[in-house]
Amino acid sequence: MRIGVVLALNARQLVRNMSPILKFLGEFDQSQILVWTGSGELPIPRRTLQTIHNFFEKEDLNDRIGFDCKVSL
Amino acid sequence: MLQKSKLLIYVGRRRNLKYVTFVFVLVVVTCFVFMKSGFLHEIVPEKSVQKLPPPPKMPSSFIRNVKAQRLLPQADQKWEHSVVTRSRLYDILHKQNEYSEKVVTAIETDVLRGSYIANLNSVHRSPLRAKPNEELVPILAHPPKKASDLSVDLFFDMIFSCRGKCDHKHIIKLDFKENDIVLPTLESLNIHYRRTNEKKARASKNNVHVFLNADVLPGPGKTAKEVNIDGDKLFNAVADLMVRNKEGLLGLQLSFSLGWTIDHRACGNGYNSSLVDDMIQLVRKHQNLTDTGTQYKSLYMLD
Repeated sequence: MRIGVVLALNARQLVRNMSPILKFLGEFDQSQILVWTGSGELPIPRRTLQTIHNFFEKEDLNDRIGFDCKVSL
Repeated sequence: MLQKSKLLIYVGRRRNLKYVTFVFVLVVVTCFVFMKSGFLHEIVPEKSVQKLPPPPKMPSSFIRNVKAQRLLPQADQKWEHSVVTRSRLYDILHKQNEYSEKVVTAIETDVLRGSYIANLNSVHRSPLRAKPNEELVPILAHPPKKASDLSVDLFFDMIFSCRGKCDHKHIIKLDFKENDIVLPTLESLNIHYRRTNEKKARASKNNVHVFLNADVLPGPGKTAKEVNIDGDKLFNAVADLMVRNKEGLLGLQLSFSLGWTIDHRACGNGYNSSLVDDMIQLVRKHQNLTDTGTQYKSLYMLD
């Protein structure tokens, strides 16, 4: 039995500083990240989601990022 | 004669001024052309220019390795957030087509110790506190609520008993809110997973992938005192369960989902390098249990 590791990251905090997360993903190359917004939190703007997505896509890591976020229209 | 000599001096000064101006303009234009062409960079070493360190690069074989040995499900999932009532879970499991355009493939829920009330119709009516002397059991409820019509036992029963009928692949993300809730939840998971072995649903029970989620380190806007789950205890609880139930857990897909306690309104640098280093250290410490793609041979790697 093998156990993977997912890093759970709040979208609002992640968008402030995304570069350090690359170190984790580089260190554990089977890991993923899951970006979330909390139940009591306002939805994030779509551009925030896009910024995060673009950053990791640029690093060719978009297959290792998932989103569980409420997004405002 | 005097007037003529004054005139000559004046004309000479004018000529000198023109000459100096011409030379100055020529020097400026020449420097500009050289700077543009990069010629001066070869002559003048760049002493004062501080270059930023390059961003960390992934190993060249990285993408190939991930695709070849994927332990985790696809990151792209349709999430249903905070599933803490029986009716909501039932709808997700049995009425997928009546839902939105995309089928829910991942369920997030909060696990804590509280009152299980079987006939609780709406989560809005659930009390915030348990009654005195009431037996507290692992339930699914969103804090600060402390009562639910969905106990952890019932949750796993619904998840695994629907295998064979609802064969969608599901990620179950269990967000642990209290330290002492981890072990009983894992025991319940183990019991229901093993029980499914004896049913027709055996073939599709492995469509369930469980994320054990906890905020194990203090993050932006929080202090160490505000961390409810001890990361070491979470890892140790899973290790203990795996050692005791090797055969029963074969095939069960588990993952750790680790995070920081945060205040989403906190200002600052977000997840800085120091926080990430702390997390790397924690995962490395329990590398024998996790398989994160390094060369380390896992003690618990059974299949």
